[in-house]
Amino acid sequence: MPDAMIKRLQADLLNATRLWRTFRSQALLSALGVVVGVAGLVILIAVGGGAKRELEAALGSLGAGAVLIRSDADATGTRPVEQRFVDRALTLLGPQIEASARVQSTTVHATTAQGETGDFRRLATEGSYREIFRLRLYAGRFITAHDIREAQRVCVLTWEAARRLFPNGQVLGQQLRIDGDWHTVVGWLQPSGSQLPELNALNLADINLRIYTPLQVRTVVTRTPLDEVVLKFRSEARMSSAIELLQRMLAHNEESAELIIPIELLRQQQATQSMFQLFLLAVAGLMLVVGGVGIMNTMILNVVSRRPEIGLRIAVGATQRDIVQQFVCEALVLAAAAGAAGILVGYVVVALIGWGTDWSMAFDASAAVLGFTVAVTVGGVFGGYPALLAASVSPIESLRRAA
Amino acid sequence: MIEVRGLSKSYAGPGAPLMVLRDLSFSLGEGEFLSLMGSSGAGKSTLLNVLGCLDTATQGSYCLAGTEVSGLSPRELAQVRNRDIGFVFQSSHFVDYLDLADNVALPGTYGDSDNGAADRERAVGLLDSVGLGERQDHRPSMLSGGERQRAAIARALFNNPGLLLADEPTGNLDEDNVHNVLAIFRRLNREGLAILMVTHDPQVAAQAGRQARLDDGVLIDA
Ligand SMILES: Nc1ncnc2c1ncn2[C@@H]1O[C@H](COP(=O)(O)OP(=O)(O)OP(=O)(O)O)[C@@H](O)[C@H]1O
Ligand SMILES: [Mg+2]
Repeated sequence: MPDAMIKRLQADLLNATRLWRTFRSQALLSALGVVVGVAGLVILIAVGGGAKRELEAALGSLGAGAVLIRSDADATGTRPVEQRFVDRALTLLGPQIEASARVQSTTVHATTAQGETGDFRRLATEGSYREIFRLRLYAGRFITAHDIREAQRVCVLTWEAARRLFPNGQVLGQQLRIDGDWHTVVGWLQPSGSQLPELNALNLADINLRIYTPLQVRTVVTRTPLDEVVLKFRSEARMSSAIELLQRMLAHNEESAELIIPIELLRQQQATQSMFQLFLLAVAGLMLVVGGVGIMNTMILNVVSRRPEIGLRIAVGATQRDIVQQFVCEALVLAAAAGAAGILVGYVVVALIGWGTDWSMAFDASAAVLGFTVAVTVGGVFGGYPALLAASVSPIESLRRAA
Repeated sequence: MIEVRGLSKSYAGPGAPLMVLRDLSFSLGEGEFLSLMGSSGAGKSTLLNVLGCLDTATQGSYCLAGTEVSGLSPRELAQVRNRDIGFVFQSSHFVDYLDLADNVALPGTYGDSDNGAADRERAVGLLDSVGLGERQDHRPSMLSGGERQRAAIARALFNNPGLLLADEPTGNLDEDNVHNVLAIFRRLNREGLAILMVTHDPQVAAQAGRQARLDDGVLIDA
């Protein structure tokens, strides 16, 4: 860019800041729409981004290729999944399945030797459960095949459960009485992220307050039924045919179990969310258009009331281009200031939402960049016409005695 | 400085075009001070607008400082207005969101000078020379009529033009202020500035070195 152009631009920017500093309230009122629009955009991105991130975190540990067979808790007298059924399913789907984990789940009362006590979700399961859900150990070990075979009285605690039961931090090797039986704590898991209420169906909501024990393979007479089986498929692509097969098997066996497919939940969740986001986006867009019209209106009034100034500038050497540039700059400066204010307002609201609710907010710099870009674009688009109007002012007429 | 040959200016109207300037010829030498009188509607302002490159003639040639103006592009005309000509109007307009010094420096915005601080310094110097140095930070709307005209003169001089066009510069002023403005004009003229001043007041006109009348579209030396 030639020096002369840079100099002109600097002069125009300085001029615009002086103009709007002088006409503060006018500037504020006309830019309000853009402020609100940009703030809306920033909030939208932060809320949307936060929800998406949280959902991904929740499902990320499970992976897209997982299917849960869960005994239908709604049915009267819950009928658990029979192990025979699971055995048959695994045989049929064998090569497609990467890992499977059986789960018996109950709510239990746990007490320590020191007298600490609480209610927890107990998941009697096998070692593969940890791999499927990518649970990370903080200390010790998880359930092993040996534990299951020998019906060992051992347990693994989640981070939060261990903090509650053993506040002194001594966890491994401690004794814990679970529903009357003493268990040795052999493992302690790392804390996991928070969960969305939408994911209750996955039974992940209570993920923080769990006790894992070895799967109970058999009681004296029959094999202990299961509450849940988690299957992880090798490839997501061929899942649908396998799911169909499972559904047919369930129907045929009159098992009152349901199939839960996390990827479907994710899709549904994202569909509702994107509808909501689309709606918010439309509102923000409308606000921005209204804001742009506000700026245009102010600029047109400005051109009319500043005709003598325009005439004067032309008389002292301004070209029409100079006048266009000046008025576009004025609109841009106004819109940019409104954009900056909108970003600020947006972040304040986002912070307030994050503080007042347990929603996860994404403080993303890209929201600010986008908001600012949109604001400046609005200024350019809606400032263009008034600027052309300004350039068409006749210096002779505007400088007449009566003017 | 100015060389006008066969200049005509007419305005298209609903009926026949209105001839305001008719085959007008005259010249103004370097450093000359010419006052122009004439009845209202004679075309004095029209002539000044053409000479000031704000308006174009319908016919004829106009040479300013050796350059034929009628062939110039809008951009070049803007440059001529910026560098070679200073304007003072009967009621001077100012940009009210800028202070007085920045108003005086306004022609610098469209010129070649590239130092904002130096521009302002020069503006303050010019304000000093018309007795307004103390008022550099004031809003133009705070000034009295006489002060405004003096500030307008300072602004017209900013880019050191060779020609000053003044359209009834004393028209709104009381006797003392008329005197002040004319004193400034005479000083500038002594320093070599060519001045063309339109006035309705014979006493004001008498202050110029040369006097002329515009009647019926024709310029006659008095
Ligand atoms: N844009 C225009 N369209 C039509 N007629 C015009 C236009 N501008 C000026 N005129 C006419 O041209 C004539 C000359 O006008 P001008 O303003 O030059 O007069 P003047 O000599 O300056 O008068 P005064 O002493 O009152 O200022 C007038 O009759 C005016 O009505
Ligand atoms: Mg006139």
